[in-house]
Amino acid sequence: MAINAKTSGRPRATSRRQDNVLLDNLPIAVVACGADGAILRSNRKAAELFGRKPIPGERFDKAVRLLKPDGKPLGETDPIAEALRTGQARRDVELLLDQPSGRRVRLLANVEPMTIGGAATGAIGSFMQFPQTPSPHIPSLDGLWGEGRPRPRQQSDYRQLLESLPSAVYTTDAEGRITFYNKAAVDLAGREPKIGDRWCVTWRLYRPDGSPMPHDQCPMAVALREKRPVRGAEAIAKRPDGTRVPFVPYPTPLFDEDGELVGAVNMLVDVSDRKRVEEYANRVASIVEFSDDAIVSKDLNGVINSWNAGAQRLFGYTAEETIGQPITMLMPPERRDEEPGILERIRRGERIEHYETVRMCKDGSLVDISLTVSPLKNADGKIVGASKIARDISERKRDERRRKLLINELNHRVKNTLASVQSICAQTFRGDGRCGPREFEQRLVALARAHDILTRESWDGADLQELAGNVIAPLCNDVGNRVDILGPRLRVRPKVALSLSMALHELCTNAVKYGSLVEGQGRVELGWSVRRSAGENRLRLRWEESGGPTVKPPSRTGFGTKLLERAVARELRAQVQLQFLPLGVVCDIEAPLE
Amino acid sequence: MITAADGSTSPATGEAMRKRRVLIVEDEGVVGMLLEDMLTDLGYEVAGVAARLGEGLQKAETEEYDCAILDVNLDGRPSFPIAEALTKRGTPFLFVTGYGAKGLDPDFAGHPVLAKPFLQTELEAALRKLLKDRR
Repeated sequence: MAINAKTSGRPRATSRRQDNVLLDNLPIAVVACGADGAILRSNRKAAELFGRKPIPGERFDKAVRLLKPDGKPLGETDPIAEALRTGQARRDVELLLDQPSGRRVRLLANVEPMTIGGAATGAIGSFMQFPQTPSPHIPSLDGLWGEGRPRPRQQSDYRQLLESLPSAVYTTDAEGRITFYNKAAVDLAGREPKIGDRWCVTWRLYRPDGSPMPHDQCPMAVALREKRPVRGAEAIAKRPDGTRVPFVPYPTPLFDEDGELVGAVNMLVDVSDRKRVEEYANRVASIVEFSDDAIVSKDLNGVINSWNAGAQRLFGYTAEETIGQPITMLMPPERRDEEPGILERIRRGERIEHYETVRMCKDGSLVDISLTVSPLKNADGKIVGASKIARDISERKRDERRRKLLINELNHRVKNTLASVQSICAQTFRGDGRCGPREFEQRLVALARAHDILTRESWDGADLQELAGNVIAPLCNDVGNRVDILGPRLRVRPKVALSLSMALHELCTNAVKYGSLVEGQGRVELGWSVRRSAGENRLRLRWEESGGPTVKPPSRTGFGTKLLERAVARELRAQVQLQFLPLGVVCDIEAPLE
Repeated sequence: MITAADGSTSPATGEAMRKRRVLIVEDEGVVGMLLEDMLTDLGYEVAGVAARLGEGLQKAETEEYDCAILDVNLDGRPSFPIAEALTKRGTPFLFVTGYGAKGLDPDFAGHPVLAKPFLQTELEAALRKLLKDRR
């Protein structure tokens, strides 16, 4: 039996001092370090050998000046750092040590890492001076786990080493009865086990899925029954206070020199931190996976090494099609020169935020994106690549373009209307002086009314009947009795509506001033029809005055005539015939309706 | 500047006081009238007026003008095909537009543009520069 039952159990109050006594009496220097290389514990021999007492929390490589056997600096070959980095044990490493006094001694070092899933969580180093060796063999922890043959006279060494381990360790006899446990085991179990308890130090056990695990089915029980180490198992310990600790057990059977099973040792590694990290990583991974944004990572050469579903939705490529490919595959040829600049900034550790650019999808279409690129660092803080978050901003860009277009359109209309007003003004005030501010005003108001109708209809067109009524009513007091408006319902497009409004305004003003709407009896008949000829619908509109004073043709061409014969005719591709007949003015307009 | 027989001042020099023939392409009838009056006042001959693309294109391709004034937007259609036809024939032209110079097709960027509304003196200066540059 390798590990003696008489060492099991101990009063808690004295455990630490007892440990220290045992540890300090070891003939070798022992140092336990955390994953970050900071010293957790060391014994008296360590202080003696290193020439000063290591301070807990201090980094091992700062506390102890170790050199290669040839006197050169260790650099990355510091055995503790190496064991932590690689998760591999370092055996019988020969080293030089410079003590603060200036004395140089030769050392033999053995380092055992504590690993979880290949990653080191700590290391225990044992050092002895060379060549005055008190014992021919420095026990490696491997020996404890049953590969070697621990010798009875080294029992206390083992116990002390076990005690000094930062992980929960306990031993049992061949029947699974607990014979020893260390303080870490008590901490993990949340209770002081009773000697004679079987299989495990824990109070209650559960499987990772949460179902209860009877103690006699625990990995330690399996290891003892099947006489083999059990690896890769995972379990959850429930403490009497109700808290739960996920852990990974390393149960290993122990045999005597005849190969007889004498017991087993088990180390329980608390993986709550790892679980938390895993949960966090899972959460982050699921956020990335279900993000609407495309999230992609690449290395410093611009090679894609991750690709989420958002990226697939945005760019059309699957992860299989992109991982391992250069990120430039997403860049339209004329934008490929952006990449060296981006990589350069990433190498400098800069973050690129909300960079608006264009990328190319699998189908060759271009998409407007807003890109945020951040450096990705490894555990050592070294920049190893970049994460890119791309958001589809095509919609926003489309809106921007639409808004710009609307503003341009508005500007165009305003300026054209002002130019029309300028023209009306010039036409009104030039010439014979028969027209003045009143006429100018009336023309502006007529133009504005026509605009009103169009605005109400969202510039979609206007009803001709309504339009004519609107133009004539303000000019003639007795529209109902003196103006007949006869024509089918007809919607005309904005251009035609504006043009006809102005034409009718001029005809009506003229009639009110000089024509059939001057006195009590005269009338106007406004009628229209639509006919199909030569493959297009043509509007025929007639303005016919009657009953007014005898009409004399005007001596010179006024604004109204010019407007009808030139502007309206050209605008509407119309034939306009304006006749000043003695019985009254007759105007015929024939225009395609398109 | 030479005073023409009708009393207007003419930009025409030499060539027996021939009036410069101008093509107007403008879809707003009232604005077309304004241009017509201004050009007549300035001593030019309005040799053609078109309000739509097809008509303007046909005139630009088949008739002879000393220069042209082109509205950019003809009832929703850009007048650039007419500009191309004029360029091909070497007829100088200027754009008039409510959009400003930014509304131009990139092919015609840098081409003279008169923003609506404009003063008669601005039209005069623009035309004089257009015809002088040509010489």
